[in-house]
Amino acid sequence: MMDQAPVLMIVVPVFASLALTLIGPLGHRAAYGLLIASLSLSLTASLAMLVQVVQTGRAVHYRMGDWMPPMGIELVIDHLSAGVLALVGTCSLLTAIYSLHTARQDNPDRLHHYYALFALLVAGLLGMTAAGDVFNLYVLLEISALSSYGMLARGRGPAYYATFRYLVMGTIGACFYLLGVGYLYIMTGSLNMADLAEILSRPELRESVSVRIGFTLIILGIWIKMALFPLHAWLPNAYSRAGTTTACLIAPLMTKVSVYVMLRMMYTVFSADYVFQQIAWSRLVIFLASAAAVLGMITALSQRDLRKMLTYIIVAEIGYLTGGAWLANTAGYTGAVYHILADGIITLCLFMAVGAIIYRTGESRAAAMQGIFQRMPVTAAVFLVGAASVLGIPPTCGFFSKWYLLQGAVQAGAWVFVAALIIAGLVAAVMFFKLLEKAFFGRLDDLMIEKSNGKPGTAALKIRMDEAPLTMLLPLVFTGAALVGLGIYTNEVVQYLIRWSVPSGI
Amino acid sequence: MDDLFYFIIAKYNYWASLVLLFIGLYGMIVRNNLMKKIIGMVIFQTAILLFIVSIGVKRGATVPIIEFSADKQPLLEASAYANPLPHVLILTAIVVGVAVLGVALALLQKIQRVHGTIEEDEILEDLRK
Amino acid sequence: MVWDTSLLWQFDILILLMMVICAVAALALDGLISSAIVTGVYSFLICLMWTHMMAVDVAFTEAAVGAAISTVIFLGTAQYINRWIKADRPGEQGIKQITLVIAVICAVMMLAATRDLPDWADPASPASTHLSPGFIRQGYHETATPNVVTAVLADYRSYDTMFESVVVFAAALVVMVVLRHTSHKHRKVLRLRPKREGRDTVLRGAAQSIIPVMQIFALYVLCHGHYSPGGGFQGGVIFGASFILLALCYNLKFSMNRFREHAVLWCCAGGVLLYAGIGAVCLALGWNFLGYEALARFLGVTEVMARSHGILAVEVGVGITVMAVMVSLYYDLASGGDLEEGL
Repeated sequence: MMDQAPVLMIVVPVFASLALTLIGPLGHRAAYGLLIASLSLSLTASLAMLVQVVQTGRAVHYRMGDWMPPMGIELVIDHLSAGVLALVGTCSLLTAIYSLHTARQDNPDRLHHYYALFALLVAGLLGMTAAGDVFNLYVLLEISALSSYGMLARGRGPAYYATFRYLVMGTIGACFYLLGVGYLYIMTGSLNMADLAEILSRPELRESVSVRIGFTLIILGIWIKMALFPLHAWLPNAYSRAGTTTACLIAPLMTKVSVYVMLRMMYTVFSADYVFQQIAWSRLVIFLASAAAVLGMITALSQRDLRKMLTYIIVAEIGYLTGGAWLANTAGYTGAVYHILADGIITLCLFMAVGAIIYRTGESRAAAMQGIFQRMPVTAAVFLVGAASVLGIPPTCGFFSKWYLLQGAVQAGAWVFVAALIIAGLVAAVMFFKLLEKAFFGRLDDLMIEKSNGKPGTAALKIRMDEAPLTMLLPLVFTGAALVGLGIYTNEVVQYLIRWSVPSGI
Repeated sequence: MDDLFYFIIAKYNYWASLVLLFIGLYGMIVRNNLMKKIIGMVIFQTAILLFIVSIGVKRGATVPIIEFSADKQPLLEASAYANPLPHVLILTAIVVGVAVLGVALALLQKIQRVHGTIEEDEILEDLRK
Repeated sequence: MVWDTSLLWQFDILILLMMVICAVAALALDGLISSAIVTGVYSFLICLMWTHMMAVDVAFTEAAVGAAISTVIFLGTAQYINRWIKADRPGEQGIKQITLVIAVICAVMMLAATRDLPDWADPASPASTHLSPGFIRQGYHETATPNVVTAVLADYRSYDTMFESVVVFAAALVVMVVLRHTSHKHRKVLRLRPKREGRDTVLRGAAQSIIPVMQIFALYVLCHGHYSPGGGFQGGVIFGASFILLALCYNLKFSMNRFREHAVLWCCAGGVLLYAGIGAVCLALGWNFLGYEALARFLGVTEVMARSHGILAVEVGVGITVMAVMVSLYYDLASGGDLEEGL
């Protein structure tokens, strides 16, 4: 069974989604149970592969339909994809557990169809990460995109226009990617990543203008998908109007997997040598990344809505990741890959904490944070850990990714990026201290009075513990622990996982 | 003159698809009406499909269905058939295209119901209210 | 170098010019219904182009999907939206001009770079010499399927095709989730559709005689995909179109009585389930996912024939899903999600 793990991981959620479509009459609990069971199986398979890859030190290749690549399609799970697969599996399972109350709140009707889309989205993300074929990646990209449109359209309040804009931008991104694949196919005749890499390393193709256009189109398409500044405008609107479960699933994973695809294209299909010697955009990209980090954080600071604030933090984090990936040195690359894992969990943690607060207070403005430490101490504590990770306070994992990124930036002499990291960190500090001040010292009754239209007498002034339900708390606490755990075991993660995936030539 | 003629003949297909591509992209970004954006999206997608299908063309080749000689032996000369791989990719991509189109139209109907218009500037005004 | 005149370039250029005109017209016209029709014309022209490029399977699919289904769902949507666009406001002209300039610069750069691409229809180009000869030479021996496109689609790249059927399934699901969701407050629904009882004798007579033929043709296309252009998609779309035609000539309820909402949903999922199920059976028999050779012992045929049968089985799966999804898209989009009355 072990050698079938790569495909089972992807296909089990697909089967679950088909079953979920049809089991409407069985009710909410059945759908929830089925979703959790399938995602647990999928996670088990991806963890088994992670263990296998780390133990053997070799990538797992799976030949679809027993055809030899490059004629057939293969799945390739190396150290980089094994890490991302484990991240996707873990985050999606935690979100599924978390969704028991929130999904029903956001989806009064057709909950089983919503869960079917949930499973399809996870299958798409896992398939994208495991793909060893550039066209297969496109098909799975569209699956995850389509199911995310459906999930985002069911937002809090009408989210159709925001989703429509996301659809337009997402389609442009995917089409650019497809056209880039077309250019590569025209010049090489192949679609398999390993085969493409071999053909593209030939000297006559290094100089080719068409290959360069292909690279540009692919990277531009991925940048639109991952919302790199200045192509980010669709993200905050689409994500901040999403329902809680949708936001918890999509916000941490979609952009991170897109960053993974960028790394895959840059380093596996093309080579570090090609990207940094032949294309040589690093300076421009690092500048964009720095702008994304600083402007993202500043915009986040100016937001009053908690969810919107978090979405701008994603834009800033994408800046960190892109900058790290384009620094062209080992420390920068390590920082970027480590930060994919770390930021996935950080984002999940913050969105879950805010989701719990919204669930209890029914309020998404920053005012909802008033006195949250007394009302929801566990949620508030985990939120504090998440905030500490964004700021980069040891021993949380955010500290170590910042450390690697800074180290890489200094080595590369990219002072703009160093400055951007520091400024963005300071802005984030101001933002979170403002929030935490409210959470610690804010008086609960302010919010209550406001909610009861200024009549203090009618509001319950007694401070009451009103923690989120257990299905929400457990995943939340787990992410908080994971943030610290990942930080403590940074050395192991870097040594056994990331170091192996560092491409040659940087 | 012959060179220029040859250059045009040898590349016109790529040109046409690139021109269509930019017409579609322009419509998608610039038009204010959301239905026009969707139509721009359709043109943009098909232009890319046209580009990729034209990779599969081979001079003097026929449709990629194996023919048989008089004694029932398959004729497997690679140069006699067009390249099948781009066709396969585009079959997939056409279906993806209609899937995205369906979702876009569904969202469009909902936008009309919620905002009462499908003009982008009016929707933005409605959202600001 | 002598230009081979077997490719009629004059014909090509004429079609391409008409396509560009249609594209511009579709974007420039003020009436949305005329835009939708012109988009259909554009799709039809691209079919001609593809037939001429020897991509018959692709042209077949585009004719069924692009020129037929897309146009119908465009028109279905046009009942529920403002049909005339408003003149663009002058305030945003600046951005538009900048976009135009950037688009033109990119276009010129990319057009200039086509110099670097291999010549069109060059048999010695990398795309025609690297992988594709392998498919043509070995495909028949390894899968017993003369239509190489079918062999590659449903066997060599069957994993892609499985996810492609998942994509259409997802589309039906998303449209359902979006349109049939009514918890938000709506403005008054625009209802421009006329009341039609479907009593038009000419239409009914035509439908009665065409629909059975269409359905048989669809089954033929589906089953004969090994030997001629066609396969699961094309067959599925044509079969779905027969139900859409029924709804157009009679009314939505009439069609829904024959193909109920529930059955549509089961077919949507069932087709994918058949496809993925075959993959899983192969896996359970000890081969890799979608390795149809596993079915050889089971069916009592050689491994090559097992691949051929496997292709047919998954094509049936694709056909069922595509048929149901096309019908489902029509039901939802043409009735605005309430499934009361269609186009």
